[in-house]
Amino acid sequence: MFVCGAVSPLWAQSRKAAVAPRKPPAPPKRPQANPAKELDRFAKMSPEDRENALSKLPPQRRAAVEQRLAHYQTLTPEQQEKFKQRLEMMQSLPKDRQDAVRQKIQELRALPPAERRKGLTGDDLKQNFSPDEQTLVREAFPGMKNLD
Amino acid sequence: MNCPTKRNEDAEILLDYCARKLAPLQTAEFEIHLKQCPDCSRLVEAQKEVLAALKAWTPGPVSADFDARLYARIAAEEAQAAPAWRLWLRRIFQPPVPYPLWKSAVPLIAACAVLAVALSVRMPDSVDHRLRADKVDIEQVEQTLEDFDILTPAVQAPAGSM
Repeated sequence: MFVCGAVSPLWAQSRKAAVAPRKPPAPPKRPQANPAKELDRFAKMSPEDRENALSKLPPQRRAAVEQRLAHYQTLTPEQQEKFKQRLEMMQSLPKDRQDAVRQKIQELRALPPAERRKGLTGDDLKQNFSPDEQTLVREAFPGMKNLD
Repeated sequence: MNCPTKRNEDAEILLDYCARKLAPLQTAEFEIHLKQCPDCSRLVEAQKEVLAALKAWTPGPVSADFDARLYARIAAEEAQAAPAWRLWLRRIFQPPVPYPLWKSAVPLIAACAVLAVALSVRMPDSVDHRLRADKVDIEQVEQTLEDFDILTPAVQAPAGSM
């Protein structure tokens, strides 16, 4: 009796698992467009279309996007081109290395100037980052370039 | 014979006599009466004078643009008499030639149909706008702008980001 009582829920569970429908496969992800072109397209959109696109984001993220976009639009075409080149260099890196570069820049930005300078010239950057990655990090701090 | 001036229904006899339309017997009978009745004699004389005058009158020549000048004069007098909007309405609702009102509605219906078609053609345009907005990967744009924030030195990070 006890054995039957103990075993039957297990049997039922395993049976249920066998019968339960499979989770439908995730829809195929849209192939990533060129980020710089996508940004330009977004920047040139009509206010109505941009509003439609932005409405998909929560308010805080939307505000950040709007603020950054406003700043991007104040750049000269040359400055925008320079950014696109850096972005292209960043995109050429594997995903984990992109994250490492982002993290390193944010770490250095949080430091006081003297320590930031040390970090930019120190062995840690040279040993753990490729020359392209080092360029990306150093170009984020143009004031420190000459001290390298 | 009864005197035609006393009875209205016999007045035609007098006019027909002057126009020489009466039958010979009636004419003889009326002429006997005329000799005795000064009223009828006076009327016949007057009527004969009118007929003689009409016969003597010859109408003047009519100019070629008589009709045009006549209608222009009528229009000018109407314009003085009534405001333009009233004349316009009168032309629609009281045309000189009978004109069915439904004919005026035809251009109006055609205009409405064109407007409806134009609106229905324009509707997909707004759908296209939405599709265009959908085609932008907003998350990718967000990521690119974050990279812009990180990689571009002069940019101050917005509050709450990173």
